[in-house]
Order: sequence, then C-alpha cells, then structure tokens
Amino acid sequence: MTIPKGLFIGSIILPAFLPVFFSPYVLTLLFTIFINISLTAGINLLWGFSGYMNLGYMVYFGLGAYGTAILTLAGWSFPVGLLVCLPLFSFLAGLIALLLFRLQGIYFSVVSLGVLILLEESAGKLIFLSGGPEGLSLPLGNYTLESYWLSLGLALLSLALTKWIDRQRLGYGLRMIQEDEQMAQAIGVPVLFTKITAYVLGAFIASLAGAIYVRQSGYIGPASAFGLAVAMPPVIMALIGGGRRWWGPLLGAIILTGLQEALWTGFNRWVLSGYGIILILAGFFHGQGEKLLHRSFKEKSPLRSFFKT
Amino acid sequence: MASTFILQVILGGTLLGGIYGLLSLGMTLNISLLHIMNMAHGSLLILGALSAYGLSIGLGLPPFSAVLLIPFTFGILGRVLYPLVPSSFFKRDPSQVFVSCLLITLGSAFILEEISASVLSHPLIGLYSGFESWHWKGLTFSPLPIVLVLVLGGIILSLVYFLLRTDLGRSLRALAQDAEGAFLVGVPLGLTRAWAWAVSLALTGLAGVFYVLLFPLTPFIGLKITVMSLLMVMGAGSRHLTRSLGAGFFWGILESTGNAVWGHQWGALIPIAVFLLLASLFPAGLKFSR
Repeated sequence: MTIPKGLFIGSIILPAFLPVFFSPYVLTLLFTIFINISLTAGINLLWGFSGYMNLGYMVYFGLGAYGTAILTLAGWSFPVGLLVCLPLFSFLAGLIALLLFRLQGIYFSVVSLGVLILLEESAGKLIFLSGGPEGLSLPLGNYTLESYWLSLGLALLSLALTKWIDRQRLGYGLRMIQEDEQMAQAIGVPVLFTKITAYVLGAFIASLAGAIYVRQSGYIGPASAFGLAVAMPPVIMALIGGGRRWWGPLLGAIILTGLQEALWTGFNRWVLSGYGIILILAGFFHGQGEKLLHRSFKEKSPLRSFFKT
Repeated sequence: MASTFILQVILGGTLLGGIYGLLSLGMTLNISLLHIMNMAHGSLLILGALSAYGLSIGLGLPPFSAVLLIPFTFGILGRVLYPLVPSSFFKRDPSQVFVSCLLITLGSAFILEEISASVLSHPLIGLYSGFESWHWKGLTFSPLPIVLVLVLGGIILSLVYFLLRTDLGRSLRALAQDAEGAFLVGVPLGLTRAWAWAVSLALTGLAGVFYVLLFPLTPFIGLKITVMSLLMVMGAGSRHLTRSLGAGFFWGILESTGNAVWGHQWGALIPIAVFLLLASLFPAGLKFSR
C-alpha cells in the first residue's frame, strides 16, 4: 500500500503537538483511542494475518496492568517494572500459546476466552497479591501528559509493526496458515513457531498497554483488567475494522471509541443497548463496508489513494 | 459426617450438573447444527430466569408452573423467529459467518443484559419455591433440592430418550455429526435446524427457571455463563449431543466438590481450570468408547 509521505509524517507529528491545544478531557479521550488502537492492532497481528481470533487477548492487558501495579506498590519505578513485566508476560504468553495452539478455529477462540475467565476469578480471590475484588489503587499523581505520549508511541509502534510484518516472512507464513494450515506445513512454514511468534508479539503490546493504562488510571481490579465487558470492545473494534489492512485497527478503534464516548455523554441510560444495536447492525452489514468504502470514494479523492492497496 | 459430606456433594452436584447439562446441550445445538457461537446464550438463561420471576411475582402463578410455561414459550418463539435470525446466517459467505455471528450475538447479549437490569428493582433476585423446610429432632430438611433433583432427573432422562429414540432426536444427532451425510440419508436440513434452534432456546429458558429457583441471580453474569457453556461444549467435543449433557453434569459435580472442599470462593474455579486443560489436551473431546 502506498501512503503519501506528507500525510504519513503529518499523522505522526500532528498528534504529538495536540497536548498544547486541548484540555485534559480531550487528552484522556485521545489516550483511550491510542490504547484501543494498540490493542486492536495487537489482536490483528494474529487474527488479521492467520485467522486465529484470540478472544482472550485482554489476559495480557490485565497481567501487564496488575504486574505494574504490584511492582509500583512495592516501590519499583515504572521503567524497571516494565523491564520485569514485559519479558515475564511474553514468556508466559509463549507457554500458554503452546497449549492453545493445540486447538484450531472456534475451539482456539473459546479456550482463550476461558483463560480470561479463569484469571478474572483468580484475581478476585488472590487477595494477598491482587487486592481481591477491591483491586489495587496506586498513589495519586498527574500522569496525563506522560501517558498520552506513551500511548501515542505504542499506537504508532503497533501499527508500524502490523505494516512491517505484512511484507516479512512472518506475515507470509501467517497468511499461508490462513489459506491452508496443512499446506503451509507441507511447504515448510514453521506453523507452530509462526503462530506463537504472532501471539507473543500481540501479548507484548497488550502487556505494555495495560502497564500504561494502570499508570494513568491509578486503579486496577478484576473486572477492569479481565472482565468480559472490558475484553470484548477491542475484539469488536478489530472485527469492525477488518483484519486485511493495516489501517483496519485504526478505523475500528476510532469509530468504536468515538461511538462509545458519544453514547456515554449523550445518554444517561440505555448505553449498553445502543452499543448492542451498533454491533448487531455491524454484524448484519459485515463484509459490505469495504465495498461501500471503495464505491463512495471518487477517483480523484486523496482519501482513495490513502486507502488504496 | 463423611456420608453427609458425600450426600451434600452428590445432591449439589446433581442439581448444578442438571442445570449446566441443559445449558450445555443448548449450546451444542447452536454450535454443531447451526454453526452459531451464540454469545447471548447466558443472557437468554437470565431472560428465562427473569420470566419465571415475573410469572411468580407479577402474575402470582406458582413458581413451578414456569417449568412448563417458560420452555414452551421460548421454544415457540425460537421456532417462529428462526427464519429471521439464525437462518439468515446460512445465506452468507462462510468466511463471514463467524464474525457476523459474534457481533450480532454479542450485541444481543448487551441489549438483553441491559433490559434485564432495567426491569429489576434489585440487582440480585431469587425465587421462593413455596416449599417449607421440615424440622425433625433438631435436624432441618429442605425438600426443594430433592424435588428439583427428581424433576431435573426426569427431564434429563426424557431428553436422552428424545435424542436416542425419536426421529427428530436422531435427525438432530445425525446433523450434528455430519451434515452432508445426514442430507444424503434424507434428513430435512432446514426443518431440523429450525427445531434445533427452538429446542436450544427451550432448554436455555428451562435452565434459567431452575437457576432462579436455586440461586440468587444477577443480570450481569450472562456472558460468563456463556463462556462456561462454551467450555462445556468444548470438553464434550462439540458434535456429541448426549455427551454435552454429561459434560454439564461433570462440571456441576466438580463445582460442588470444589465448593465443599475449598469453599465457595474457590469452587467455581476448579471446573474452569479442569475444562480448560481438557479442551487443550483433548481437542476432539474425551473419548469414552472405542
């Protein structure tokens, strides 16, 4: 895909200067969007390329958040905490992936979702470690600006990683797995290693997102780390954005986060129902969006050249 | 003391297992016959429970009337609504069905959850069964679990008979195991799928009725129940209708044992961990025969 150089540089530089112009509310909203872009891109690394949908992806978000919170409360600094948490949870992701990739398709998705439920239940019970149902609260501090930069960096990194993998051996291997896993094995693609690599890369992004999130919010509990209400939106964003293009996560995260925010601010009640209706419509019209997008852009539109593959 | 403990585990496990068996069979019908990963399954159980609550509290009907009325109504509704929702998935490109299903059923689950929460005055409800406890020589006996075990046992046995001996039951099993083969031997695919959807909804509604008779219920556990039922289906091997009943029972016994040995805090974790391991180590489900 070709991206105009000016547009590419602008899309990186412009968000970097936004804190000068906007209020803390807007910055927090942008922070949420960036975190969601990162998570959606992380899901897309495996699902978009190989077709394996990791419904329990947020396991690593929760682990990253809890790990950072526990180490911060133990007096460790944030960067040192990251240095400990990220390799640890990436290694753990590799081990879990070894078990999960004994399964395929819907089985893989369901069991990965089961891991999430297991961790949510455990986090509520391991009071000495996780604080139990009350969760962990971090010392107060104003990290809005710092979190904004970090989340922006992570969003760019995860999108760049998706774009980079697209033309690498890993990307070709994953796409071959999506086409025909047995054939991929037969022609020499290291199927298990390829899938585990994509899974661990996604887990790394989620852990980092969780760590940045907990520093900004100052609180983590079983429901906000591993709850299904938290775990489903990034999956939905990935599904709506579509997995075939690197900008799919960007599109899905911006649309869904914007809609969520509009629902929260516009309605006092029926927010969940509004969200549900959007999902149902998205489900009914799934697969039609890309066609509509291509049809609606005129030949000379600069957007057309941006989205053209 | 030991015999009381064993009795408690067996009684609790049978009750829980019976409810989970209904739930698991309903989900197996969704997955194996309709190819729908129904994320609203748990929310439909909550709806069944709330309907039973409404019949009893709102209309003043005896609580046990819901055991007949709710599955019947859910079944009829399912049969009538079949052309509108599940059958529309079969017209889609197979590569898009998974995503469409996930989005539509998740959206439905969110809506059902909010409706359930909005009609309840309290976040936690339970239904009084009308059975009084007996007191004899300082001991207290509650007849409700025994009555429920008998009723549930009767329903499960009828279901097994229905699946093994009736034409529709055989068609459902055949379609679950091999759709092409079933079609070749004359099973009407559309009609059987329509009845599968109706039976699935009826079973889920019925599970909801039993659930609210036994346990306090909150409308926010629908998605978690869905995931539990999905794990049961995976443990049973997704294509075996009778085995899925067994998987539900096994889950119930594990949870009841966990509750009795480690307390309610940890009891619910045991079956989740066991089924996750089972599903990972035996991707095709446990095989009990040659």
